[in-house]
Amino acid sequence: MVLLPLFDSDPYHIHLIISVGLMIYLAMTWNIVGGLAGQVSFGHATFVGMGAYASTLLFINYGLTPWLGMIAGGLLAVVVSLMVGLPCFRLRGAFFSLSTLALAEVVRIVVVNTERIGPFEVRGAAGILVPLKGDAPGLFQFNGKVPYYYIIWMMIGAVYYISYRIKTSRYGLFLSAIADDEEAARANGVNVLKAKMLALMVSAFLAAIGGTFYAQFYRSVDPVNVLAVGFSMEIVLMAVVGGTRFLHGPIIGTLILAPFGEVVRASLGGSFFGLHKIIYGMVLVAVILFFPNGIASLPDLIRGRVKEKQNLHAAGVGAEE
Amino acid sequence: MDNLFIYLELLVNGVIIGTVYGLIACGLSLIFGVGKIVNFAHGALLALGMFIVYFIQRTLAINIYLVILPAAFLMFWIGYGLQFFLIKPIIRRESGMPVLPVILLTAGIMMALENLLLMVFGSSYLTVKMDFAQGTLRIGTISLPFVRLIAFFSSLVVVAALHFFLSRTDLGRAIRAVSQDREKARLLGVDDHKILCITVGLGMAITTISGGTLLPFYYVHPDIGNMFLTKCFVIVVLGGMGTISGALMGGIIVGILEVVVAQVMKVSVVQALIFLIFVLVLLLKPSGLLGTARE
Repeated sequence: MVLLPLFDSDPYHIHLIISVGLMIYLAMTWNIVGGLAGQVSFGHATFVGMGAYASTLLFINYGLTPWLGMIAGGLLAVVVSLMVGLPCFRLRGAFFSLSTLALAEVVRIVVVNTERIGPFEVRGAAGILVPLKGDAPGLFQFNGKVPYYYIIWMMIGAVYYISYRIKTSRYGLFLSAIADDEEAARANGVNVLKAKMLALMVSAFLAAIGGTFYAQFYRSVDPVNVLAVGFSMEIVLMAVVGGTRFLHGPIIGTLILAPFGEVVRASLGGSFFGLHKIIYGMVLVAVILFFPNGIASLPDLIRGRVKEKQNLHAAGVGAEE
Repeated sequence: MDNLFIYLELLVNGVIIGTVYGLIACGLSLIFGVGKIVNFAHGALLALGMFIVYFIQRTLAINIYLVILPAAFLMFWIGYGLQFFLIKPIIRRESGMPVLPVILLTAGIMMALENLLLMVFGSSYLTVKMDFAQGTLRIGTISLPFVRLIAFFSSLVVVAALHFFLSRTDLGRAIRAVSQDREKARLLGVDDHKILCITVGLGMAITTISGGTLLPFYYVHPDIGNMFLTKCFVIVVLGGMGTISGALMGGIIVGILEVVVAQVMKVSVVQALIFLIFVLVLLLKPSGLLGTARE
């Protein structure tokens, strides 16, 4: 898989895989707070947008290479995550999700209505373009697609590793306790707010880096694509369909949905605009109804069924007897 | 003196549109109050209802107000089916109220429905061509278009009917019982699952009626769902969850706020303001201004 570019040099295919890879990355960053901590936020796109805008604006105005700009973007996202998390985490379940949705929309509306902030031209709804510098690795820009391919896979590996370290740590235990039963966790002495905030900050920082990648790969950033609720929903969708309890859940979810969606959009998108999103929605509904723990839980479900049959057999029940 | 009339007109308009908003929120409040279901698809379902009214009106070319009740009837069954086929299985699965899956499920429905509407009706802003009731009532320098007055009064009628239904009829009492304590209601012989289905259907019907009366002086667009979703939740939270008078009160407050603030800010910024108020109210007084302290 990793060596694909050596075999298939069709730029469309590689572009597709990179797009899917980016979604995998973003879904995994969301899962740090959505799956490990059980807090469903519908505002993840905001952090992605912060990263994209920050690194790009710094590049346009000060020539700062996005390699460093993305750190700035990440820090900005962390600040925003504090502003979002501190109020919102005090709310229960559905109201938390609703308020993340509301705040995400506030950010989007603010950006759409902002032409400039100080020296930075934000250009509202029109969005900004990344100045083309040709092949410039130092400026996180490449002429071909292949370098992006390797970068995104490294990013996916990094976020997987970070998620893994969090999940298997004592802190990760606190998070899953919170995810299961927040009150019980609090009663057991877990500092719930701090734990949730930390997860959100990590998630936001990583998402922003994904935002910089987005900017450098797609070369244009605008509120409709990067800050919209629909984008957040897609990210959540990928993670949930795959299964939030598993580290590889978001990977599987994205691998199932994203290529399919991309193909549908490319072939039928003209005449049936939005068809792929309808299918996404229906898949989400189906998964919640039939695979509440995500598609990644399929092996466990099968194993459970097999065990059931084995037990029944051992107990002497069964048509064959 | 002129200024006074201007403010008065704003106020009146705010109250009028606020009452309609309140009715839309009533649908949500009912569903949430009784079933404890936070329905993310509420906005999309409102949009669906409005599109159904629009479509029937345009196809049959009859007076729009004749279309509303049949459309509401249709939406009742859509709501009923929604609860019966999609939400009930999840509630059955778990002992308490499974908040997370319901959020995700209704979010999925929202996604599918919104894009279905987008695909079928396109992304232009559609309005209804009206011949009926095109006049305006004038009081002094205040002008009130008839279509808005019709929306206002029909909302009041529906609210009154709803109140009567809930307080005086057996079914209404059963609904109130389930909203207070589902377990005990079931012990008393109430089929709580069926009540939930009826409630969701009722909520959808109410929402469709108000959406339909909105159509003559508003527009319909697949994105309308998103806008009204948060607005509805602001209203419900502001006025207190699960109370009809609360939803109405919250609606009027939001309506007045919108109309007044729109004089100085752009429409989209007004929306952002409403979202901020939403978060603020959630933090400061989660049970709303009129709600009883639940949990």
